[in-house]
Amino acid sequence: MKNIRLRTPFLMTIAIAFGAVTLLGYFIKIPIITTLRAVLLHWAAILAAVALVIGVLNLLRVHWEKFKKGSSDSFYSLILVISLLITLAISVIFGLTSAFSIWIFNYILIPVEASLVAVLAVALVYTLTRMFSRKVSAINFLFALTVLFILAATATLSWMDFPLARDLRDWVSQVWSLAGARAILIGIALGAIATGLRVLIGADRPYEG
Amino acid sequence: MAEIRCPMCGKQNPAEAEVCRFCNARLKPLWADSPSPTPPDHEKARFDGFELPEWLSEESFEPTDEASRDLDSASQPDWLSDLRDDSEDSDWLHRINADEQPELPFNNPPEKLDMLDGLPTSEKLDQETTQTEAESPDEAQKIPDWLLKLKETPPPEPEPFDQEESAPDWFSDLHEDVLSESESLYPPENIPDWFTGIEETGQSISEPEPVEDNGNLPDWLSGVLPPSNKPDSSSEADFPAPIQDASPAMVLATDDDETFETDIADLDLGDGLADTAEKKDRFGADFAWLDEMQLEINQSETTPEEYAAEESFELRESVPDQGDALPDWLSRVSESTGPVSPAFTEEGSPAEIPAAELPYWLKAMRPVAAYNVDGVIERSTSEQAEKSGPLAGLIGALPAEPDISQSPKPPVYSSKLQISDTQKLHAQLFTELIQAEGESKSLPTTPLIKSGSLIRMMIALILYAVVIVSLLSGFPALNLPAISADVNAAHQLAAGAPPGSPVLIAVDYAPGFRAEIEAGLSALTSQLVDQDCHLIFVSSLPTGPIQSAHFVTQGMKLSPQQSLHWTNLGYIPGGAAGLLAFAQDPTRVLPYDANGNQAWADPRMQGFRSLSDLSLVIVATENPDTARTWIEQVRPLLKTTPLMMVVSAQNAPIIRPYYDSYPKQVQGLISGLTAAVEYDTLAGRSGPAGGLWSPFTAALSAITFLILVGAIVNFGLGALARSRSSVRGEGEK
Repeated sequence: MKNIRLRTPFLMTIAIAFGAVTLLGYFIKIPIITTLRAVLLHWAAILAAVALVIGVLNLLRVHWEKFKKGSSDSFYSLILVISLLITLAISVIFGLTSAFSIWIFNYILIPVEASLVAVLAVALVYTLTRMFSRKVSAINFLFALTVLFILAATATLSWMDFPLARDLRDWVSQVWSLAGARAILIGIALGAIATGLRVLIGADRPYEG
Repeated sequence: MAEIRCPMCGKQNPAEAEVCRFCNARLKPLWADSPSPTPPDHEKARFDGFELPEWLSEESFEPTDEASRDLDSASQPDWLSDLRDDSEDSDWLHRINADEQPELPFNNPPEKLDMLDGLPTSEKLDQETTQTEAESPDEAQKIPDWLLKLKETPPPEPEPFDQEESAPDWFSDLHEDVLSESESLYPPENIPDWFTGIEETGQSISEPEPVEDNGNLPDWLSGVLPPSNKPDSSSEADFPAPIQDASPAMVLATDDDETFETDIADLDLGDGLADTAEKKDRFGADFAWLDEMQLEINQSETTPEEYAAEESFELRESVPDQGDALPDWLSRVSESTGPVSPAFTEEGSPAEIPAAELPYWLKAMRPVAAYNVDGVIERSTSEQAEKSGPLAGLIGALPAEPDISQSPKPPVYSSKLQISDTQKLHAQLFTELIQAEGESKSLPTTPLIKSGSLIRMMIALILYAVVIVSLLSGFPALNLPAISADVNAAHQLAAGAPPGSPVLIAVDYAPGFRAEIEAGLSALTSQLVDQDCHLIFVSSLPTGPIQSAHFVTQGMKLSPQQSLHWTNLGYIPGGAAGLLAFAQDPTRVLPYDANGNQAWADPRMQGFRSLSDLSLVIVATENPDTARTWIEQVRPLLKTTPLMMVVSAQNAPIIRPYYDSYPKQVQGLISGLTAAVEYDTLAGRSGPAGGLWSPFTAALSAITFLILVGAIVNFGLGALARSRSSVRGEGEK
């Protein structure tokens, strides 16, 4: 508790100073600030890489502990540990872009993630059909109609390939969806500014852990 | 030969002996020859204004019976007997006793003794009656008028008290026991004559039979008698009105009759002789003779021992449950009532009796009087009056059942609950709920294949079937999409890259979106390779380096000569900060390539020290955040270098605002498989996108069809279920 009290002002000072220098580098073109900003960003990249390594090691330790405890899902932990060690060994021994590494990527990583996306497509279709089993409101009906229209228009089916359909598809995708996307982006930008300011003034201290 | 019993040793001595021949105790006390007593001055003061009857003032009590003297001697304590021997000290002892007599609240006052000293015996009463009749003409003149009027009006005839019929058995038995006990204690031969006479007189008074010798009764006694027994004499005028009212009950009183006690108590005549002044106020000046009459009747009824035993018995019987409440002195008095010594000596005068030596009957009355003062006897007798049964009307009868068992009858409450209909309904529901808790419920059978899982499996099978059939047969043979302006601008931008110039390609897409992203990226990089541009691959994802290698070797299917035109710088750590750092100084952030070689020592990398040296930057991602980070962090440092986005169809709406903005933050945009097909069509080559177009279109058409059919079916089933539930709800109502 005492260490936390002493550490917090120190961490706040560092975070605020580094954040202010990085922010000023966007607006003020002073060589010292620009150089200092570049050094800090380089440190951040290195720390992120080290953090990635530490994360991998922590993942390995956690699943190894779970495997030693013999819990019900220890088998999956064992698989993860073995896969991690094999991939690490192949990448270190044969290189990151070797044929063995590409084989692992091509026949393990890509099918697994592609299957997840395929399952996502089936789940979305089923969920959309089940939505009509309940009382359908106007919003739900409009949402389902829009999805159907976009799908049909994107497919460029022969019975949908006519100027009115294309214009309607472009109007929906580039007006309505663009308006929604802009709103989302504006909201994200405002949120990022507010978060940055809170960190700079010390209101948010994510570095305290 | 007459004998005298020694008061000290109890042995017989000759009558003329003055000293006991056995113990030398004096048999004839010296104080017996003392002159007639005169009340003290303070006692006289109490009787000022209280006129005694002549017969009472003139007469003096002279006990003639020898047995009474014996009883008196026997009941006296030793110290008193010793004191008697010392005749010389009797005077000072008398004074000491008179002075030191404790003023107990219930003690009999000394003046009462003086007053009672003049009580005549029964024999003298007879003589007085005769003398009074002879003097009747004079006495009649002294009778007040009010008394004459009262005499003319005969008092109500009392109901004859049949002791044998009205008294309960237990009471009769008790009475007989007391009588037998008294007879055994005092055999007839030991009863003195004077007592026998008194007893006969009391018998004649108590019995309702007509008195034959009415002429022998004094006037005061004739007034006490009932009319049938009352002598027709003018001496009745001496009785005050209260006594006439009380006379019937007193006449009916027997030696063990409680009615007498009760009536005396009701008249407040037995609450102690100390209340003489108060009685005087209540009943007038003729009150004192009533107390004397009561004493006479008591004497005539029983012997001293019998009376004491009766009083003790009455006390115990009247307060059976309050023995603990009796004071100590009362208990001692009750126990010592047996050997009470007579109050009178044969030749002594009343004035000679020490004040501390109360007569036996007075001592016997003391607890009763004290108890009457407390109101216990009155309360107990009045509260124990029988109301039903053969003992109805009797007061003081023992209860058939203890009081504790006579508890009030418990209230009877109705067993029917008074509840409203709503409460009944709630109770019924609560009962049903409790009963339902006890019933076992059958576990729902889990089907082997749930309907949801079955439908999902059917959807997956349909999609797989459509895609596989389309891949194998090329059905349906759909027309290629028309080339859009976005694709056309991207193609123009890629075509503007100078030959041999470095082109940065960011592989930031997940392996699951490889097919969609690489279709457009492959068409674009094939054109750049054709233009002999140097491709530099980076990635902000850990899987980026190997994914870039996979794309170059598997996706682009470059020839061995073309494979020399690309560099894999690997992974840029740090997210947005790493991208910014890479944009500021790429040689410092990524000094080595993915294989660990010096990346910037390659001669083809000599012209590339900053991002502004690049001819084109292409970002391939399906993640909108990654695309936004590249646009926001890297795009400002690109200066004139164009930024092109190859994104998935789902990410296109997010990137389009940057593409449609002015000035454009994204100069080219290729989104989805449709744009890839358009780009290949525009580039005039057959890339992987063309082979995926038919399955992609077939799968989209199948999905659209499944959604439409599924929506209609589920809508119908839902409507049917809602209608059934509504019908069921109405039926339940």
